[in-house]
Amino acid sequence: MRPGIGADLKLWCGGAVIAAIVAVAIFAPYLAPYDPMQQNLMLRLKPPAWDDGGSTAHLLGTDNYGRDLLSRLIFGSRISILVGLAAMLLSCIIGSFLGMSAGLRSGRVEQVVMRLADAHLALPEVLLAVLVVAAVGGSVLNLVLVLGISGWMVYARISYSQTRSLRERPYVEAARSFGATGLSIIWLHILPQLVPVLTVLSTLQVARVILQETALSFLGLGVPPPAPTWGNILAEGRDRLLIAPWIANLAGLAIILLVWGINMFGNGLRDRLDPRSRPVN
Amino acid sequence: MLRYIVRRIALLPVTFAFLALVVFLTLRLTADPVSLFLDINGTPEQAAELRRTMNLDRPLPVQFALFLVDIINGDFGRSMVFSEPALPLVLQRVVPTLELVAASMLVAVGIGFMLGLYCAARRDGVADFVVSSLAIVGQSMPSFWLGILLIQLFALYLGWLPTSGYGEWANLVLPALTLAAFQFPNFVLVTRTSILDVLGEQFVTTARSKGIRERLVLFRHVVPNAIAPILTLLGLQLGVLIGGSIITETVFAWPGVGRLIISSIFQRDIPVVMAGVFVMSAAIMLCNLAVDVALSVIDPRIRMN
Repeated sequence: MRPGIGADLKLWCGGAVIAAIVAVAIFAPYLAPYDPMQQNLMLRLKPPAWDDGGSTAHLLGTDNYGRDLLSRLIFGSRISILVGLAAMLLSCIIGSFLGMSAGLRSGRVEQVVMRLADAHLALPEVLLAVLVVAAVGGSVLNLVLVLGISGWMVYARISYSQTRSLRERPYVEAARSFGATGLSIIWLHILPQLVPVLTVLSTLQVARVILQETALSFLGLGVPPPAPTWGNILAEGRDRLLIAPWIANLAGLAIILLVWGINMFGNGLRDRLDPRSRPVN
Repeated sequence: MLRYIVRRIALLPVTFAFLALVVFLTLRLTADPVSLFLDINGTPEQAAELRRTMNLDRPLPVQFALFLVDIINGDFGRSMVFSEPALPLVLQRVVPTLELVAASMLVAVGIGFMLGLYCAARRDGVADFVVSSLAIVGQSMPSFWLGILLIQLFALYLGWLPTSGYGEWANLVLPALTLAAFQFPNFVLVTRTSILDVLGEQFVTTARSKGIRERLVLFRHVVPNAIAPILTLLGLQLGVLIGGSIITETVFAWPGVGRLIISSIFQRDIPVVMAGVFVMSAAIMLCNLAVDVALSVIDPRIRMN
């Protein structure tokens, strides 16, 4: 059994894209040519350098307030990446812990947790996020909490089903017969076995969370302007498609590049780590 | 089978109560309901009055019970913008959303299934590689940007289709395509995997060894056995689709429930938002139920479990 031929390629391509964008996010203040909030109404809606009328002073042009688009996109990466990672961590911790507990002790815990997961899965996630953000407003913390809490079910389901089969293993039974507590069994014997599956799932979930964050932001429910986020840059660009299509399109390009990179990386990881998806020949 | 269906239906009120609880807690705990329901110029007397009529002076469990009773009676309160009951307002917008979701579902399932089947039948061919790679790009595509790209190409540049609006067939094309594109990569990938799974079964080898033509093997023996995962996905995706329709409707100014919810949020018309969220969630739950029942009819392994 070997990973698919494409696995390495996917890992390298995806990894390179992710590394580049994360580096840009970290070093944003040094990389951005301008202050992303600085308005200059004399320079409104300048096209990118490669278009007629564009100049190298603003490589990707400017927006409706004369703010440098490149700088806004560079700073916008921070919010997406931050929310994506933090929300993923939160749902992974909640979901895998609940899933493992449910899988380890059958009975009431199992019933409650898994029925709750079913019920929550039946609710449309965008709607819940929309409802909560509408009530409390979109700050980074609120977005992380909403998206993080509304994503726990996938982790719970996977770690539940894996734990169910793991708990019959001799070493788990041995640990139990030595009097190990549930928590230490989870920590020492179950969790290490789940690491590959959870890593793959988490990676792919980051991509999904980022798409959700940008969608909320696009709807006007994310981190509010004037803070730059890829979603609200795109929403602003939508109103000026005829005269300044580059605003919406460059923001869209930034989103798809990052999400594609993460999805590629996640798929590559899955080919590598998840035995179920290896091609069986 | 009947027992399974009954048990599945019996679960429905539980999910509903859960939904009500989530909505209730969101609205009560995240912010002061009075500030949500009263406009900025409200006087303290109005606030006190609202507190009484909304039973905010009672303990939380009592409030929740009263809230549940209201919802069961279909009473979500009156819209503050339209001064009408909220639920009928939402129900008026259901038809456009249904049209959009149905059209895009047809496109997504149709194209997705064909492509997935083709890729599986010609595994590791050029088409397989291209489609599988494109599917990853499709999954990474933010649907709102796709919608905007389609508007630029077909409405602004080529001028073939209107940018937005509702009422004619031409209006439906771009929103339906946008919403479908958001779904169909999943259908391609699941169809492909599930067909490949069945292709490895022994009865396929048997059928082939009897000299049955490949096409017949595929459509008689493989497809019917591969249909269950696709149906399951269909059920799950319906929820995602209805949720995704919020974004598509906003991009294309489509007068459905999703757009009503979003515009009500910005007008702080909480009763309408609540009714909208409930109607959409209820639709999704019913769809899931329908799919589960259909699956149990098709696949005996499920109802025996």
